[in-house]
Amino acid sequence: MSWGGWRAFLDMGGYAGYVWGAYGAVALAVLIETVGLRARLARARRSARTRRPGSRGRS
Amino acid sequence: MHETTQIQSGFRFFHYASPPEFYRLAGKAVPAAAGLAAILALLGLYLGFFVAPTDAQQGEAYRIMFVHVPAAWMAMFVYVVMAFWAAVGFIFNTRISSIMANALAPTGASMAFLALWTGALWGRPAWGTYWDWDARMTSTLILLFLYMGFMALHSAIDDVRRADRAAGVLALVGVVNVPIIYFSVQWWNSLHQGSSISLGRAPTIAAPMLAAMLVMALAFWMYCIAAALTRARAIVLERERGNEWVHAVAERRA
Repeated sequence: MSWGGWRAFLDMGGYAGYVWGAYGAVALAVLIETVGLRARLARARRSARTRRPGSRGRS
Repeated sequence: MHETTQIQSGFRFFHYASPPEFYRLAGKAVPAAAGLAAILALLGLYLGFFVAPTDAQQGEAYRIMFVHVPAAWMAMFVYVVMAFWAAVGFIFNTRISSIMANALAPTGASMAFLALWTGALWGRPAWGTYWDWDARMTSTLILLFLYMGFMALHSAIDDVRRADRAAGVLALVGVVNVPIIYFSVQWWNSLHQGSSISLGRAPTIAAPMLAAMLVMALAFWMYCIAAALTRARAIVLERERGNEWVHAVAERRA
């Protein structure tokens, strides 16, 4: 598959809005979830460090 | 309590189901799954954009397929896995099983949303409409609502174990929707095309297109594993907060 230049590739045969709209949404969803998960895990670790063992029993 | 611990430790399954052991093993699995997801996604994108030819009927718009089909597959698959862990948690009362069900829900919801979104953007150039209330699309929308209902119900109940049980029942009831989505294009007249690949039948799409779609599906699969396990690890720390091992794990990272 040869596109003959970046301009043609980005244009996607006139379907640029549909194709990049779809791939962009996937990229955005993955980015948001990844950043959110890293922050959540870091927050959970931080909170576990500051809380002394035994301050809350098993739930 | 002491007796059951003794008995449980006799089984490997229950050993891995202990929160500290799960946390440790999941921590090893996440980088592997995430790395594979990245490599497979790059390969899949290369195949999808630079190897797969232009479609004779749809032009370049059909390339949406390489994210649409994997997202739709994962939306259904993640739901079945979520319902499975909800059921295991229900029967054996193992905490990690319910945590897995909880960890899968947001990722599954994301996949269901992406299936609908990319489907709409493909539907417009292919059929002339973003949306149609036909069986395939409506049942996929219901799948998204089931994921959202699962999360809303769980967060509405303060007691975590009770929330696990209530949301688990919802997950199990909702699983009937998955075969409805899958077979909807055979059972009802639909705007949506039939499956491009199915067991016992030759695929109806060209080999490079099929390869790109399958590699992308594997990438999505690995991504879902990495995301769900990371979320499960966070939930384990959140729920086990105040326990000796959680404090020790957190100290080690400091």
